[in-house]
Amino acid sequence: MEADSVGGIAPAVLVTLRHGEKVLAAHGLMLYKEHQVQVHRRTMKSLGVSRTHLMGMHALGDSEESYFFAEFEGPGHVSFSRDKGGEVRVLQLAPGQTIRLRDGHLICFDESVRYYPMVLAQYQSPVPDANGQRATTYLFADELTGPGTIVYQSYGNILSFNLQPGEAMRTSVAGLLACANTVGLRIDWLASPAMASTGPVPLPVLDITGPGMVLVHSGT
Amino acid sequence: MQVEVKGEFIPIALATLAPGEQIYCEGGLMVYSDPSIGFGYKWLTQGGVFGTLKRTLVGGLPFQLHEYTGPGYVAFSRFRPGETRVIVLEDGKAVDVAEHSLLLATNTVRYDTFYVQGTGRIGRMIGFWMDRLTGPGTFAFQGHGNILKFTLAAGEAMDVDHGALVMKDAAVTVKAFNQPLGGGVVGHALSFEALRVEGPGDVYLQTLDPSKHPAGGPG
Repeated sequence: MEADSVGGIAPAVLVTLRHGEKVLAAHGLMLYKEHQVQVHRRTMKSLGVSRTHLMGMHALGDSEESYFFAEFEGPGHVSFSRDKGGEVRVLQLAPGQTIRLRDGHLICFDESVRYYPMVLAQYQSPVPDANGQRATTYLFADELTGPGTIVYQSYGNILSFNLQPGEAMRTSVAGLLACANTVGLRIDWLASPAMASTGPVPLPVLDITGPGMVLVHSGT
Repeated sequence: MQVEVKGEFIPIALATLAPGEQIYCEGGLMVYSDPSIGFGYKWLTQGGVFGTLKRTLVGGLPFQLHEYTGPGYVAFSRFRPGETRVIVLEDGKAVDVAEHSLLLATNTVRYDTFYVQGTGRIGRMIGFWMDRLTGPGTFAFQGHGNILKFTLAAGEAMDVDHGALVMKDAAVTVKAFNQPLGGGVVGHALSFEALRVEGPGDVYLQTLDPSKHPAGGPG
């Protein structure tokens, strides 16, 4: 498949499919398609994602994973939009190359790309709530392994980093858009200024260690 | 009249009117104007009492449009991110603009509305209104997000998302349908709403779905 980003205020992606070529996208992202492009339903099970795994993801919290994708089969053009502002990028994954993309940002991907939803990181609130419970937050991601093309959209602009082995950087929890599966992730806590009613509330951040690619986005 | 689009993210359409020149728009779109600009109402009476009640009570369209008279300048915006286009209509040429997308039109442009039927499926698409504009004259409209233009040959068709259609030539037909997501009962249950547009003529699509970004003046 060929994918081009149509830039501007709210970018869209235009995918050109040859005869029999297929592209998968979350349900509801299609902007338009040529009449001859066929639409099928592709279950997660057919992609190797078990129902048990998905139910487990849903049980953890606000996972957006659906039980199926919409599959578009060429020949022809199909366009997708995530209905928001932010950069759209097209990434060619080499065979075996893996990227972990925060959920809610994937637009579409080649049929040849292996897809697997996962928990990227998790942390427990250091401050108990009114019931004395410490809430756990899960950071969900789509793990995508090449070969093939993927298209994703950020909030705001995308800043790319390539960390050397042992090189470290720190991002806000919301700031991390994607990373290679070779980088290490660790939750750290920053003490924030004292707040009048609640006292000091630590701020979670992500400490990221190379080697590998890291993508940070400027919006939340 | 001259119309200039200023700004990119949330642009305005700045109209400069000669003495006696008139333009109209939906109420609530004016951003600023020359104090010399006159103001009035353009009442919508097409279809009689029942037509008006259908448009206003069912469709949520206004009873009247606002009318501005030159000389001077007046600027309009839908107060939302989206590209703005200015189109010059030849005499007799008709186009259809999606509801709450028209920014302004010269008084020589004839204004009407019509309803595009939905699929009628329970809990799904119920249809939408479009403004029909007939030349001669100039008008401007604003989309949600970017605007993409396509020119369809006679009989050429494309399928577009329900919220994506922002403008088309009147000769382009539009029909709502449910696009099944695969086969069987499940495929039909998961079907999504789309529009089949068929040429000949120009079709303009917008990259943001208005139902997810409803801000924009009175709409």
